[in-house]
Amino acid sequence: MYDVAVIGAGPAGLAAAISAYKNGSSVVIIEREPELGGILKQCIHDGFGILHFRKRLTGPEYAELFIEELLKTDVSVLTSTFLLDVQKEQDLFNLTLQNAKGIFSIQSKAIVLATGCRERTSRQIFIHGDRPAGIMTAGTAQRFVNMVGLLPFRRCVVLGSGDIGLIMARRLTIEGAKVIGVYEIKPEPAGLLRNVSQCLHDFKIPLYLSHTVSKVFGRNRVEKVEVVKVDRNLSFVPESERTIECDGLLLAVGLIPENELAERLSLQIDQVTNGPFVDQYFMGSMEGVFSCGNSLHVHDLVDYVTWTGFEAGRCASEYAKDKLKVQKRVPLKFDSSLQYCVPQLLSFPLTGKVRIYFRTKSKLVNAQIAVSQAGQELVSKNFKILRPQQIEFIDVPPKFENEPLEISLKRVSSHEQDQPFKSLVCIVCPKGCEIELYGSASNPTFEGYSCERGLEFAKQDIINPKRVLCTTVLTKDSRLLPVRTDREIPLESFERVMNRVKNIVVKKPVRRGEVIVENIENTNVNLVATATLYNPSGGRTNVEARLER
Amino acid sequence: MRRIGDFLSKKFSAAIHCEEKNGALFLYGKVKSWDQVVKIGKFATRFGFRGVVNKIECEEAKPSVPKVPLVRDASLHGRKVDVLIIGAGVIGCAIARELSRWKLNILVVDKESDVAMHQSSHNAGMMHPPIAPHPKSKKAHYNRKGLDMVETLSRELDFPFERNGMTILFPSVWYIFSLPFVKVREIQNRVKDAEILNASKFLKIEPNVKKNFSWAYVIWEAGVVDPFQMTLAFAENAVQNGAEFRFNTFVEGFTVENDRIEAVITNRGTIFPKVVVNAAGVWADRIASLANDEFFTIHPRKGEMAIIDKKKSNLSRLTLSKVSLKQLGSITKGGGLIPTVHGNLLLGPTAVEIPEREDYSTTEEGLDELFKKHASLVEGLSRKDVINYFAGTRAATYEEDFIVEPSQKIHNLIHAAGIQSPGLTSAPAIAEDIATMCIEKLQKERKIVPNEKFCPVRKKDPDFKKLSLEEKQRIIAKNPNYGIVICRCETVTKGEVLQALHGNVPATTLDGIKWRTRCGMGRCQGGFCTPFLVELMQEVGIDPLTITKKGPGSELFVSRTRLGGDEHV
Repeated sequence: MYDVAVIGAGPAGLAAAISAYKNGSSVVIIEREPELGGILKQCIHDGFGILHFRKRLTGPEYAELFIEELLKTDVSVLTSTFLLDVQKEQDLFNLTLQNAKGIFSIQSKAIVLATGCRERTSRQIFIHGDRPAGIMTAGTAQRFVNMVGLLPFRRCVVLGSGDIGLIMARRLTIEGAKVIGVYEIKPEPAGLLRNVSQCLHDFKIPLYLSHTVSKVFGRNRVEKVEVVKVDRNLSFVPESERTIECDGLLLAVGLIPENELAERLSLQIDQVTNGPFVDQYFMGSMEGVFSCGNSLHVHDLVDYVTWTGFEAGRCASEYAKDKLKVQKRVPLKFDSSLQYCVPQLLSFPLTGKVRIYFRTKSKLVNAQIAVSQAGQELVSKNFKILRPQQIEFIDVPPKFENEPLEISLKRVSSHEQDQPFKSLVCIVCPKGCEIELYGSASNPTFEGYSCERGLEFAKQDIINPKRVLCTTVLTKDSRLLPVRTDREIPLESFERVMNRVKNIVVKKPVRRGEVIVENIENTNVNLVATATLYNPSGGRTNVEARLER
Repeated sequence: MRRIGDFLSKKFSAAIHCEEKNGALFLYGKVKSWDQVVKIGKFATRFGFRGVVNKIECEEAKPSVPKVPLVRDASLHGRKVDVLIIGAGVIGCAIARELSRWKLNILVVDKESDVAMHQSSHNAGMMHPPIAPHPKSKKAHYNRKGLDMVETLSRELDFPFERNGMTILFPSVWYIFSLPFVKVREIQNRVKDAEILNASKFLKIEPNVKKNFSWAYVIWEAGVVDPFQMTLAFAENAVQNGAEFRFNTFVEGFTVENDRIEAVITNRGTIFPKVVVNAAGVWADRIASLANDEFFTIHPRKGEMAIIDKKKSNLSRLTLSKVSLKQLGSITKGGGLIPTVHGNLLLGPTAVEIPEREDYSTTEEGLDELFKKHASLVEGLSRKDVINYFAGTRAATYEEDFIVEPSQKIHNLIHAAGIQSPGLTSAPAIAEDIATMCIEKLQKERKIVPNEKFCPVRKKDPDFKKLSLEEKQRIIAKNPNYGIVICRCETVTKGEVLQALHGNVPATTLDGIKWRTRCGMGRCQGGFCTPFLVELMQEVGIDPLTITKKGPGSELFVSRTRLGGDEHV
């Protein structure tokens, strides 16, 4: 019998388990894969943890920091374990689990759903034509390329400009595949601007907005696809069809919270977020069920995922201690400028500050978002720019019992700002300012930097762009070890360094951060491991290896 | 002949000429559209020949050619067999199983990499009651007989079958005038367990049906199967009893001497069979033609279908369709809302004449039609609920009836051709007759004795999904692989996947695993489980670069990213 059962050991689940434990609860974490870390294991690129750690970590590095912390605790860890069913019986949850040891059940007072999200498939966006091999969602391709070392295409078209699609376009290019173009049905990219810059512009991959793939051809493997322009209503523009010869179609057309468990528990689901309705404690419409991370709503940054995990875990622990009392819940109100906000509900009696995450419907420049209650403004926050791709948050101290919070767009500057032609994350200091470049490459203006060094960095980037190279090396048992350069190297040297990387075989155990190759290809930069390899030939999981020591 | 040619030329304003060969009417000429080709072919059936061979070309489409396997070797060269069955669809597999009751050397060849790669898996899985076929047709005969056999077979061979019943909804009271016609057909074709219900009675059975109909004709003996599982069950039982299957094997030609097939030339070498069974589905006319016995033409009729998420399975347990004025009198239900044995709902199929026989492409129009026609039968079904859609092609002849007979010309050839709906239901009955024909032919040369080792029962061991909790525990304790879940949407375990990889007719492709285990058939459509499957196939010694979706040519990967090198760290 546990106080808190956490379902899923990705970033949200790891954070929830750690914080519930720290709050004094007995915790079990259940993961269906053999290893902890969730999707982060395959996200070998950097850019994780900018908000939480003020560092640019890779996915495996970010995950390992939490895994290490978790494994120092007494949290019970069940890997390769599948949750067959969950039922609430009186005040307890009965979880039926299945693994190699058998089918068994455990009980807990509270559960935290941290099951992440899944990718929208070609079928869900109604792609027609033939059904050959060579159509793959970006996340699946990412796993194959980064964890198994198998390349699914030589020449591919990417449909959808979601972040994983952009990141995979870069990754496939680095691995020697040709990415013909990224096609996005909407007039704006779906992913973050800095990913458009760093993944597409850096590698000269064209982005076609207001375009989509209408048909696939090929009996055995993809032979060609038909792309078509779309108008404002997303209808095909007649006679704008063009066929492109390729051997693959990569799909990055959206993520959907994995809410099967929530639905089985009959939790109320928000039709906009596709996750359950929750209050400020991340508790859903059934008492004792908490939800966080991408199973709650799809986030743009892992840092937010972690934060919601921490809070959901802490609140689940409080609930298990019978300290979380909810007498009344009132829905938040928000105006038409927002797509949604999470939490969707405010529970009373009030216990303190509430963090509200939200997404806007459209791009808003110099916007002020205000939150009021009972006609009284509680707080307002200024945003230089709000984009539908980006999640933002505002901290609110609610004041009145039983009164709804109202979120509204108070002010927005009238002029529509130009689209930057480039977006950079400054690497001069850990602050990581997002610098945007306007105008043209020959005569740019810079915005968003906060010091002279940052401006110098941005200017330098136009002449000689430097980036961290994140990739993999082979190990003795033909698994892959994620690696990266410990500092930026010139973009133009990527190909040379990659040729060297392909020749390396790691034959000894290595720790995260350990140097694999010093001064690789005379770049004055070292190639370092971004994950710990406990045993290069045993294929043991990180959990088992840790538990043995 | 001249007169028929002139008549057709005038009627369809095109230069058509005809000739009589092999008792059939051969049509030649060139027209604009494929629709015209089909129209003329259909019209020509009224001249009373035993078949129409439609050689009319059309401007808008090139003649359809089969997709051929990429392999070429001599692994079957010189093989002598008693019976060679061409085609491992449900018909070929059912015949193989039926023949395996006898002590015979049986070989089944198929150009694809698995059983049921065409029509046999690309259909709705309905076990039709014999209401639609014309009473004098072979369809009516085999449909009745086949439906009577299916329940026993599903138990013997362990494939899922459910007698869920079928309903035709009649939009208004005026349709009552068609009732005598329905009743006469019911008696002629010996339809069982049929009844007529008024709207309020029917809504008590299916409360989610939209209330815009006046009465319902329910046939309780109708059912559904998993068509792939049914085909696989026949095949695996046949193998169990000594038959052999060879895939990626394409018949390129025959050596015919004195109206006898002496040799069969394939991409894997020349085979010498005593009897040849033509169960080649959409290519059955090609096989007949290669054997110099052409007397019919297949014109593929495509049907598109959509699969609905299991979340909506409660909308109907009965197969539903609504009759329209156009269909009145033919009693084809024209597709409908069909529950599957796995708890999904299926919409479809459509029916469109197409020139390309292996064209399984889907279209926006097709999906639209399905939703317009069938989704409106029940409350609360939207396009958001679709998890997959696919298409199949029916192997229709112009006579629109089955051909189940020995060749009139070639002494050792037997045709099981033109098998379209209700072919799946009829398969067991067709197989019995074809097997009898084979034995009759073989018996002329030597005495054929029963296979004393024949076992009619094929069981999955273990059939993990069907086990009780205690039995599952026992199995996992013995074999932990059954504890490891690979597919989260359909809860498929590693043990079940390994079973599929090591079965009597083993899966060799990802689709093969999918069809056998349902791994990848759920809402993520393989997004999560495909990497696990690849890992697992690697574990059992399959080079990942050879893993295909559906046979050679459809490889999943183009290369490895790391080949290893000499810089050891």
